[in-house]
Amino acid sequence: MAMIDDEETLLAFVEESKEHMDGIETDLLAIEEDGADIDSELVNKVFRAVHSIKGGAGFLGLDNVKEVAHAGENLLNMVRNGEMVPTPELITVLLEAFDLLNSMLNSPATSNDVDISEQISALKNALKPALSQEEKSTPTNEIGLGTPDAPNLFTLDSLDVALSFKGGNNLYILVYDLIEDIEKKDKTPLEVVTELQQTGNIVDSKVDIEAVGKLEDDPGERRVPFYVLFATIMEGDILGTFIGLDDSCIHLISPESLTQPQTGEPIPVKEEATPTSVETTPPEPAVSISAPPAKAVAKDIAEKKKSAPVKSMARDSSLRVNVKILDNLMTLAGELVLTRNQLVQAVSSQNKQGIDTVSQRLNMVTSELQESIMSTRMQPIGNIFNKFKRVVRDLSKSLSKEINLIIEGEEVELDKTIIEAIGDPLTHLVRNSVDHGIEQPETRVVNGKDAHGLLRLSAYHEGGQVIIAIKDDGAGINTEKLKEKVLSQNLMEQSQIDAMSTKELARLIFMPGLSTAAEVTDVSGRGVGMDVVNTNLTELGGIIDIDTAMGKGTTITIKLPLTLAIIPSQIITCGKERFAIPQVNLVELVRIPAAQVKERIEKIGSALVMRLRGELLPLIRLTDALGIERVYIDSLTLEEKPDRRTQIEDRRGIHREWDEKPIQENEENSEPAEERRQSSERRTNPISAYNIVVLSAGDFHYGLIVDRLLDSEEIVVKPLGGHLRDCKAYAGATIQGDGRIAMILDVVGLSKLMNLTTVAEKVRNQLQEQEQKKKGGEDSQTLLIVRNAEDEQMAIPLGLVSRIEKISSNDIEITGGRKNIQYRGGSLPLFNVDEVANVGMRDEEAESCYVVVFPIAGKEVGIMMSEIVDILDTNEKVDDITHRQPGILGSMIIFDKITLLVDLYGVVTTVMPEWAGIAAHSSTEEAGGANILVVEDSKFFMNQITDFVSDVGYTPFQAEDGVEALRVLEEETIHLVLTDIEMPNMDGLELTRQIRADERWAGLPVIAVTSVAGEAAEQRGQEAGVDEYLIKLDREQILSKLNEYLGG
Amino acid sequence: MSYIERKDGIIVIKPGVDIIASQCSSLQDELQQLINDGEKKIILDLQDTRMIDSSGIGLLIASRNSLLDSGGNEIELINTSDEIRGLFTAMRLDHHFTITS
Repeated sequence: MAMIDDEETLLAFVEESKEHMDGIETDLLAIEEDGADIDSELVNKVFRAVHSIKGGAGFLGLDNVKEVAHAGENLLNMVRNGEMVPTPELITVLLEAFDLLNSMLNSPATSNDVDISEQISALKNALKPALSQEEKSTPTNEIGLGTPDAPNLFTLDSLDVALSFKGGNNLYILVYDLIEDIEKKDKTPLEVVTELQQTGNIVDSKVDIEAVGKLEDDPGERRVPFYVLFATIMEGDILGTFIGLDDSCIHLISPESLTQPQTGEPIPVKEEATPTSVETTPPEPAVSISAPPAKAVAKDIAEKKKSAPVKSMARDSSLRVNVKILDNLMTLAGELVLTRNQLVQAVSSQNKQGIDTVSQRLNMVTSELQESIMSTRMQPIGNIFNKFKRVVRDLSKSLSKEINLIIEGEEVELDKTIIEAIGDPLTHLVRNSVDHGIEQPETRVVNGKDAHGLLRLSAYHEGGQVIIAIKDDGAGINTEKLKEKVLSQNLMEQSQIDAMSTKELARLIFMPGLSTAAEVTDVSGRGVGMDVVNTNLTELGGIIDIDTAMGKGTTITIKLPLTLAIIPSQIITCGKERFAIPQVNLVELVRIPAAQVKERIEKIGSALVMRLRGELLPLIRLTDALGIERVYIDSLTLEEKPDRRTQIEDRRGIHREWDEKPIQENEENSEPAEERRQSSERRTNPISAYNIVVLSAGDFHYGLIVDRLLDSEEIVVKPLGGHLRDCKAYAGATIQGDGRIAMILDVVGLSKLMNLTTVAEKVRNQLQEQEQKKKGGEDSQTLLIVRNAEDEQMAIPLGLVSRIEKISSNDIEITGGRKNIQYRGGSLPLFNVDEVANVGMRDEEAESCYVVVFPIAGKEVGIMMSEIVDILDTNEKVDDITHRQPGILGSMIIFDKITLLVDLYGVVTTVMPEWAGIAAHSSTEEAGGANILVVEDSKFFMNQITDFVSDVGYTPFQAEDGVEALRVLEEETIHLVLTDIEMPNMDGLELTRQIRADERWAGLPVIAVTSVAGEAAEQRGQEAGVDEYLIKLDREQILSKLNEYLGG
Repeated sequence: MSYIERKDGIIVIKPGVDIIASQCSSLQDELQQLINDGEKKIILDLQDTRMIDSSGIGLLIASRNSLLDSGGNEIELINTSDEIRGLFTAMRLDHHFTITS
């Protein structure tokens, strides 16, 4: 048949067919997985899809398409009526045939010229085993079918008859007369035949040649009887109307009327939903797994055909959109029109109130409209993910590897352009994992891994971005080999390589020109892949991160923005200009008041860093990065003046014009309470506080020092012109409401510009060292870091502190030579550390100070401090020798400073010795020399606790860890155990459990003392059998508990 | 008027138009004439024949019947368009006519 020239029809058919084909691959793989446990619904679905394609192709003259579809259809038919098991070989044949079908559909004009012989014979061969079996098992039977008038019109093989019923078809014999039923109804035979072919299957047909007569006969009387054995799902009553044939000419053949029994159950008719071009396909289930096919097949398949050609993800120019979204758009458009009308009116009548209202409305409608339009472009990532099932299957087969592919988060949606753009990079990464990552089954087993490799593709939303992760449990990236390769290709210097961390080394794979594959295989290893991937992703505004461990596997994480065009951002000023920072990169905003600048901002090498909750953050000044002159706003004149401070961390700069100006009284008083500064800071202008924006640049964070923080706004991203392409600092520009341009900062670009990676690494190394120390070192303590004298840092165990209060110096009263303050209806005695210890003096003239409140001898007292700095968990070793003195327990290094550990109890009792007596009094009497076992690995704490235990008259025994403790328990009679938790060899919890398990000691009081507060820890203690859970240096509490358990 | 010639001893008739109801009458006469003349085999050249309608089919079949009746063997159709070939195949008329493209 010649191809119908109808361009539109052809296009519509191609589009619809492609849709059918889209799902087919996934379905076939699912069918393969099901194996012998055939999901008839699924097979039917594929069958119907192919059937539609066949029908349409026939109509349009796409013969090759039709033939391949038909052959495939036959095969699927066999499967669906259980006559064939969908083996991997079968599925492969089908997959390859449908690949061909797809490519033919892509260029229908040339499809008829394509050589389909290979696929056709493959399909027919696949069919053979089933047929011959059929022939053997069931003797071929012929059935005669006809009408009451003509009983044996058609003679058919019982098999063919059975086949024609499948799919819920009805079988009819249609009796046409070409002249009467066709010509006289103004139709042509061609039309009629085509119509039939479209609505069903012409199983057989026959013209009654004899009945036509001869030439001599009267042409006017000529009749051409035409019988059609027709299978269709249409019901009889509709059929007649549809094909324009009288009901009397339609004869239904019922299965029961045939003499031979049917094979298999008739499958119930399913409603064929013809997708309209505005429906969306229902979402796939969230997780689907495709199991690896049998290994034995691998060789055959591999030899037969090379792995499927890498399909570049097609960029469609059309889109499926849910009708609801379109309805919404219509509604919003209507709203917009209404708002516009209102605006026109309000403006012309100069009605300010009206304009305001309209402006609000416009704001809302615009946002909704924007959202709605964006959502039309959102597509589920499952569209691409599912394609990988095939890729992984074929690739693993050809490489003789066994790989389980797990897909998660198929329903996560991304902008269409992004989805199309990440197809190729993702393919490359997946192929890498299969090719280089996951090892051969034998190798894996030898290494104690499961023979099946695991490849996990997942997508999820986080922080306004979409995260795609490709995780394999393969061999990991061989950083040694990478290093060698890089050096041998002279891409980097040895010294540079040595300075790199594991993570940085892993990122070497993004270097252009690098390939570590032994040879360039067809699959991957051309050395052009990974850097292209990286470039592509960066162009999309995405970030790629690699986490790898040799022998364990590799995880590649890609972060992508949800959409490209409109992004929420934070506007900041720097110098005289405004800049926008994309919200996705924004972690937090930090303001460092002038007072804290000195200790929170420091230098490592030549780089500025900042302390944020115990972590070190590299800092950049935006002015430096962009080359802007630094200015500050003089608060008095509101002028911009050049800021000539050279070092932030040094508050005394070279020229400071405001140094000499005293801050005026009223200005000071009008500031909020926290801004009230100590006298020592009076020289500082409040504007010299620092605004820092903490940004995320892929795998690390850094801080950007900016001038002012303005609003957060949604901005439209305008790309930079070509001439600015090399500007690493900017990612685009936007036009603000007032018409001015604000440049959009490229967070990653800035960090590269300022070489922050090296800084970040150093910082990280420092932290790692600290971590190491923590693991090897002492117990962790929670300390409150404070300052007494201006330069002197002190620490107080937080567990001992009841409360921290800030008081005004004016409220301090002096009674009987002692300071105190009215507090909670009573009087709080106040103490200074410098009264007792030889330490720097606190500035008594200060307006205010902090009071650390804690209990002693049944009362609350307070120790005054000038400043609260931070709260920290630390394992720093306590030096209990150097600075030891009354009131000071020892010292440690915190924040790189010598920090004195305050002995709260000591301070008070030194000043008021009689209180010590009160505290101890109750205990001494009942103590009666009970034996207390103190289990503690730290010498410092051991000494402390032993001291106050013996102070009150108990007899202490010591043990360094749980093991020794048990030994002591055996040898001595112990009345109570005071134990630390974190100890080597056997920790406190284990010790407690052992004690409880032993009959002799089951009732022994066990009190756990720890330096860390925490519910979870307490819980664990309870479960182990601990009676009490106390803080190490809380002398009061410990003693009173001892009293409780031992006294009375 | 159809174009008729003899080629290698076999008569070839080429209608040159669609074989539809309006054309049937003259074509019928021509075919009838050929059969009367005793031709045993007729080649029908369907070049330029895009369409055959019901009457056309009826005519062809009747011609075939007549030909066989008078001792002839077959009518061969040549230069058939894809459409016509497809139609004849669907109607299983390819069993009764030799069809060559």
